Amino acid sequence: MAQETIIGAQVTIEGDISGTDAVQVHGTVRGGKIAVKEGVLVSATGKVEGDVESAAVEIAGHVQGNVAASDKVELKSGGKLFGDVKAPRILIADGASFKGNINMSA
Amino acid sequence: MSEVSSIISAGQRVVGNVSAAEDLVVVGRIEGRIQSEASVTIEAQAVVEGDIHARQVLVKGVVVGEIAATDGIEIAPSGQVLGDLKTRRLALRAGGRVAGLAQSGIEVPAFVYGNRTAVRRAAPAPTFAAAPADPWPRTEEVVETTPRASQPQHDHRKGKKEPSREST
Repeated sequence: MAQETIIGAQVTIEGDISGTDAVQVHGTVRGGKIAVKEGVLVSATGKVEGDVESAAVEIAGHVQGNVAASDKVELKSGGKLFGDVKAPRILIADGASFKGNINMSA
Repeated sequence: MSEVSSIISAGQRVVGNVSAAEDLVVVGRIEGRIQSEASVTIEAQAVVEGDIHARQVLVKGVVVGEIAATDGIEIAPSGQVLGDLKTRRLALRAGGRVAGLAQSGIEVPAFVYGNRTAVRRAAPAPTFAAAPADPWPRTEEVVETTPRASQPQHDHRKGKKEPSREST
């Protein structure tokens, strides 16, 4: 299993995260953009204030910002997304909150 | 969630400040400040460009910036620091490189994460038992930090707007 960046529940990052490895956000990321090649997972305790750009994005927490994925965006039950989504595949589960535009064109 | 500590992995680059209340391992690059209530470990291929203020710091990689640690700093044989060191206990292993002012045996105030409040009490007087006493006993220690009871958070983004005085 390739290494993943894990931002724990009691960690706050104020700035950009970029790179190749996947990112798991259990804490807070604000004030910048997450642009990683592999996936981004925002867990139930995670909070992202800023844009997210990745291959696959899974949101079970709170994201305030635009999300762009080259593969899929999955908004899980309990997840909250306030921002636009641009992805070829989108899955919004029952119980999720979403406010924004969806663009699925390639 | 505390089996795996927070980690900035090798292919990652963070441009911005990191603050934590749990252990953090850095394998990638961080361009910005790191402040932690717990320990910070800079692994062998990591590069941190910015100050580090934590409880305990273990440097096995490259740090460009000042390191201030409440408990101790250890520079491993592969560690390199370009900057000052300020801590209670300093361990510089043979092979480690430091270019800066190193001060040990001094009190560094602890960092408190987020909206937590720290409980401080005077440190107990050292007992002169068989173990050698700490030559620089601490005068005060931060016992624990707890989330502050709900208070309205001061939103410093909403600054007071001064009435503009334009002279005509």
